Amino acid sequence: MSDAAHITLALSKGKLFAPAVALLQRAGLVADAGLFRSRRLRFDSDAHPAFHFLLVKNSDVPTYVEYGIADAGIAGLDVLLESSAEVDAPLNLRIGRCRIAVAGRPEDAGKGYILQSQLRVATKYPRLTREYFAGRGAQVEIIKLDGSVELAVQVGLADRIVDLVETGETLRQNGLLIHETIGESTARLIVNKASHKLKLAAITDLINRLRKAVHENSSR
Amino acid sequence: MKPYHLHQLPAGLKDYLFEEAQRRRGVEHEITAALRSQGYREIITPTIEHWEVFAAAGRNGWQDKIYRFLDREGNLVALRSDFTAQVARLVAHKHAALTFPLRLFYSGKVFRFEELHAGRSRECWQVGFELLGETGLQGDVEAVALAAQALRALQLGAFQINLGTIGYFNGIVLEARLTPEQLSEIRRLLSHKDADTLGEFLQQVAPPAAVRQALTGLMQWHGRRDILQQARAAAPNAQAGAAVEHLTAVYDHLETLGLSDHVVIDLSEVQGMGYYSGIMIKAYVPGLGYEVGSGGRYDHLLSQFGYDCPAVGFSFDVDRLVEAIARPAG
Repeated sequence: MSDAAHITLALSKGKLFAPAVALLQRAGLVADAGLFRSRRLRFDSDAHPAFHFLLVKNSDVPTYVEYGIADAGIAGLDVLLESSAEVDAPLNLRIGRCRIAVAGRPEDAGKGYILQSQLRVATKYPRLTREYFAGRGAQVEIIKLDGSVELAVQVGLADRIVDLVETGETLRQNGLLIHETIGESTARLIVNKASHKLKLAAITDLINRLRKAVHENSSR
Repeated sequence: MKPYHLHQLPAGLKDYLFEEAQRRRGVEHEITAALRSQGYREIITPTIEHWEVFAAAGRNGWQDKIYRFLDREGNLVALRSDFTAQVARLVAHKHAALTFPLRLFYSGKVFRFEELHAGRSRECWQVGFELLGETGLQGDVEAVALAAQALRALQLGAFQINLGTIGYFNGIVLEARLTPEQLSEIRRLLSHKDADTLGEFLQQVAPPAAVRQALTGLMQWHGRRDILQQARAAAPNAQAGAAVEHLTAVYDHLETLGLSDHVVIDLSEVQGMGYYSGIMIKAYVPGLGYEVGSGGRYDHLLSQFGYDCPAVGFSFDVDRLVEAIARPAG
């Protein structure tokens, strides 16, 4: 967290990166998208002297913001819910839209599991998954994976997966089908609670710039 | 290799050695000196009490954080999870022998089984004060000014005090007939300023349109004095209106004390102890991503212990203050 006028924004390097940078360009916080071309992880804005960026892993964005290392960040709702970080989430950026869904073999779709003693679910989102199934009264064994979750059902590691679905193409190619949709996720602007008080004017400016950019995006 | 349990502390607990211990004592000393100088006197309460004392102070989710156990006689007891509940118990029982307004302070540990996130631990050193028997305006101004005085004594440079009130929120939901679970979810979403998710949630819950509008509107009331006027104009009923008027009066008094530069108003900040009934206070310092202290008015807590008495209090987190002092902003 830098001094009162300066704002550090944490961005994720994953799928959200390109639409987030486009949004920042529209908000006048980035001039040239090529700014981030080097392999550095910290950048000063080329469009606004008070803005700085950190490039971090998708799931780490809430951590940087919660600790106040970054004043604000752009993170998917999925990541935000999974982290349960104590941060403000004042703006839906409406980019990176996808579903969080339960998927499995086509022949298992519609097959009840609530009375089953055990269901194995592989996921990158153990907290979300636990809450979802607990809420339905199912007993599940959660297997935490960090990638290639779709493989888990094919090779018999799990009965179901909980993952993000954009087009469903990856699922189809791996012989899986969406069984249940847990929720929809889009990217959010998140803000450190202390920064939001200590740098109120600068954060309000950031929110307003991005709100305008989001509005332009959706009315294009 | 030594067995794990002989060389690892349980999660969320720490040892503090030498200079680190000294720094904590130093912070404790600065704060307590400031409190004493304003006529506050120390009390020491037990680390273990009957569980009911702490449980009475909470709402949804709070009871899960209390370390509770059975003593040898089979009583359900708990480690101190909150000083204010103990103060309420103590003052309610001894009120006949006490003189009001009563000014007291404490310094010690509270234990909460927190999920381990930024800045949270399971044993937390608090130094705090309580002002009992002083109603509304005067008491609230004194509490905020005293918190500011202690922060100044610590020479942290800039600091920001966030003022909110649960009265505005309570006014809005007064006739909405929402369940405690729904209210707690709404409070959480408001505190995260998550307008979108709140909108979706309210669509599901479907309270009267006026309530829905007022709740969504709450999110805008974050800023300086000007937002208080707007919030007053938008208040959906007399109770909400009165809460804003009160907060405005507190703000104006703080302005005459030269403190308004340190004050931010945020009416959507509605998370806090379940017993808060009026203003809610949080203190922030540069360089630290979480608050260094919090407090508020709790006019109905003492009546749960059999004595009706208005009160307001504030407590500092010693470990967080030490962290803020050790880490220069920038």
